Amino acid sequence: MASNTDNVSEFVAKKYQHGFVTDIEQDLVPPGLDEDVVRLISAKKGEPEFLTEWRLKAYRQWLTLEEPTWAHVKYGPIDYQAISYYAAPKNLDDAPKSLDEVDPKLLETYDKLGIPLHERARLAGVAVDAVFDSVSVATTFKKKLADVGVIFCSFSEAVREHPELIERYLGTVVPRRDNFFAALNSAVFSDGSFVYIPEGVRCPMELSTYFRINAANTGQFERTLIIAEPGSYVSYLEGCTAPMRDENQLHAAVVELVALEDAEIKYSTVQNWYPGDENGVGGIYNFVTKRGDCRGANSKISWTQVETGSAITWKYPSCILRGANSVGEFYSVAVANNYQQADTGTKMIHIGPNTRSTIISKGISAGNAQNAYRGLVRVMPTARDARNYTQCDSLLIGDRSGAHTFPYIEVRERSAQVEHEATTSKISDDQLFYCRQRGLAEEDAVNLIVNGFCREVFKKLPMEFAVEAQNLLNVSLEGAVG
Amino acid sequence: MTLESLQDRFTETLDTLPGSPSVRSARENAMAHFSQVGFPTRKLENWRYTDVGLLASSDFDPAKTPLETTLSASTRAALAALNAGDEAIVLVDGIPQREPGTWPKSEGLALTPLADLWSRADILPQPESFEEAPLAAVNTAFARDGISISVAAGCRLAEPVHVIMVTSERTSNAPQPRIVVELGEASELSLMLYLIGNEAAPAWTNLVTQVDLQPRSKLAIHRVQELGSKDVHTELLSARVRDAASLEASYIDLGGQLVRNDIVVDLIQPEAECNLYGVFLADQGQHVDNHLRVDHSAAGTVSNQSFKGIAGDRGRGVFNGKVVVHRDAQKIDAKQSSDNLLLSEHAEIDTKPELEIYADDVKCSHGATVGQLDERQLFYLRARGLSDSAARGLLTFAFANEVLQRLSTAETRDRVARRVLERLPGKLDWDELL
Repeated sequence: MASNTDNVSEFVAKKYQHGFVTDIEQDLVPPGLDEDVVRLISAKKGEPEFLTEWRLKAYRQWLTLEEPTWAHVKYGPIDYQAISYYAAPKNLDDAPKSLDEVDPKLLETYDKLGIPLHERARLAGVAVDAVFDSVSVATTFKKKLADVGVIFCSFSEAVREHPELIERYLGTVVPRRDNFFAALNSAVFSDGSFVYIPEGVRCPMELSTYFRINAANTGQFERTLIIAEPGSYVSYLEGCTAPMRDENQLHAAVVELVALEDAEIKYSTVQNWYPGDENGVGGIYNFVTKRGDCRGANSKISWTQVETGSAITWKYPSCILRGANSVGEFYSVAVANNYQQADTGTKMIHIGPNTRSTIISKGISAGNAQNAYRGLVRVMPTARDARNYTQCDSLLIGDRSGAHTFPYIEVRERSAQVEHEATTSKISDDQLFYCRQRGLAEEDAVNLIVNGFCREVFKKLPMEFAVEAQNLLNVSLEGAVG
Repeated sequence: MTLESLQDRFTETLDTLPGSPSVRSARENAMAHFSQVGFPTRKLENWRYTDVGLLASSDFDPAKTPLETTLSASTRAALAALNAGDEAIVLVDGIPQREPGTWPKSEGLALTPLADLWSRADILPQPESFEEAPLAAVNTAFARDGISISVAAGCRLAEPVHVIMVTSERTSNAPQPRIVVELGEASELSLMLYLIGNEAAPAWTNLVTQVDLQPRSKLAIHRVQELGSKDVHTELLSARVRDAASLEASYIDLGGQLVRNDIVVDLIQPEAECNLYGVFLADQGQHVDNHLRVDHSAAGTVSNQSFKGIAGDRGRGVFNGKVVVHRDAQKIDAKQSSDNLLLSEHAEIDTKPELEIYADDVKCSHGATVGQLDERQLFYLRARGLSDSAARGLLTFAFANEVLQRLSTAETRDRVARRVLERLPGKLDWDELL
């Protein structure tokens, strides 16, 4: 343990591996935001009238909202007029009809990220809707999905081809004026993914999207909408990486999930965006509103997230448990190091009778990082026999790091049972000693213990993701502790 | 009383308030601070679950000058029932009732009315404590009197000191009493503190207790609150605990309509320790909020918070405990638990146990539960012939009793146990249970 400090500085000195910029011509709207910019974005995307109006209303509501300051994070003021709100690859007009037509530089980008798009799609049976900056350029396996009636496409495409679904569901889970960042997203959202699973269909493959922020000084405002009709099932994977930039980049996404009767949605995220350098310069600001609505009886929404990136994370994937017997789950590993700051957690709102929720949160802080869990469990008087179990554990690596836990528990129904447990500690000397004594190198011992610490969450991830997550964690913690 | 009228009342009465020029300027600073922040609202994170808007809209007047009061027969009976002995120190509306000469005497123990001390020295709290408890600023501005208890180094008092605070039946009564407890090195004291109200006239008691513990001293405070059903009670216990000293506090809240206890403990030197316990019974629209903050400012410090809540009828209970481990304060052991029983359809429990940790060699944990009585335990008791209500009463009592049994004097323990049982289903008899 004596070499702790040295090892931490070694760890801190580790460079971000995905730092590169793909040189593609961009079609950029000049920085700044007003009603004209909102109209321009809408026009560029050829959106119907109702959506333009919707965006404008959101913009007007955004003007009345204030940026939230309650999170346990610190950052300088963001100049929303200095951000460019739209960037699309220029050669959009002759959009690729197949993977072969995709700009080779783009494919190269994915290769560097370790996501061989076509190969992965074929071998792993995963359909990838790759979002490059703001416009989707390749969607695979569409046909196979179409055969069973699943719609999996970019948000813009959904607006063009299924406007009735968009109009019906958009903003019903995260209203336009839900919060500052959600309102901003509603006004200027660029693109994202849309998933529709028809009644009784079990989606034949895991759906996956990779987000990537590429151009400098462009905010990325993704919007994802997933609708699971009665009795359907879908597992959706989302991965994120961004190249290295010195200026902070804003990412304000909105994800809305709707699960109707007996439907199940499993939403998994691995987020390893650029966290800034060892002095806390640069990195992504990740201000995301994710919410699932268990609208029907016996529905289930499960969030699994592995958060290792971003300079600042502000994210609370939530479940509204409206339907009777509906189930909400939240499994999270959040790793913060250097000067990263994370304020993340979940909200479980129990409205329907016999609703159940489970929260498992594992936080790891190293270097000068601050990692906070913030969670709300609310049981309304209508939620008879509601049940919640929460466990949030924090692991501290290095004496400059901070770990914080802010659980809010509000119970207004006497038949409810709510339990919350949390612990904070460093890696126990006893465990380290035990492993060392059995011949493990110190670093292997730490990896083993940390992986064990996160295991409960990793095992909830789909297989390919679990491997990636474990690798990410091992790489991040290389040499971190003695 | 609105903020404006409070400010006016302050200007009118400042000259009549006791204290040296430095105390006077501390009062002015406190009032200036409060004028800026005003009565706390639910928009503040620390007041998220408790609305004290009632204070601003009521006619409580902290500046009201004390009168020679005679206590009503019922209050006298309540006092007698406390059985705290002739030596108990009684404060009516925050004013000590006897000549200091007749107060209990014990080697190493010094009891002094605060009004006397204030004319000599500045022992009002520093403004930083107002951050946690803004209403303490009102106390600082308007406090007329109170009591200072200090124990000389090395002196271990065998008998507890009893302090009884009573409110009279005057209208718009808003006493702002203060207690100052200072323990010298390696001394020991047990303090029993009773708060008694009445049903005739609602009062707002705004108490501040300042505690300073020198190395290796030990203080236990047992506070039993049995105010009237329309009373408002707000309180700040602010303690500094030094080298290997220890503080134990148990808060028992049975009365009051709106109760807000702020307990702020700073473990400022190595090996300092604090154990905070509480139990409340909130029914008939009562609102009880326990708000704790423990700062681990030095290495090797230990803290434990264990609070139990019982909410019935339209009662509402709040627990907000916070443990802050400061940078470089290593080898910390901190525990927090908040357990709550919801006994009725309209009751509510809000709990928020927080950890804020800036050091790595720590062992911190917290747990919170909200639930109802265990059906299997009820069945067990029913199978043994207890009626449903007796079984419920017994289990609920057992839940509370973990804290009640910490009360250091048997008389108080028994009396409080009886009071609790009276309000639980089944109305069990304490003597029979024994």
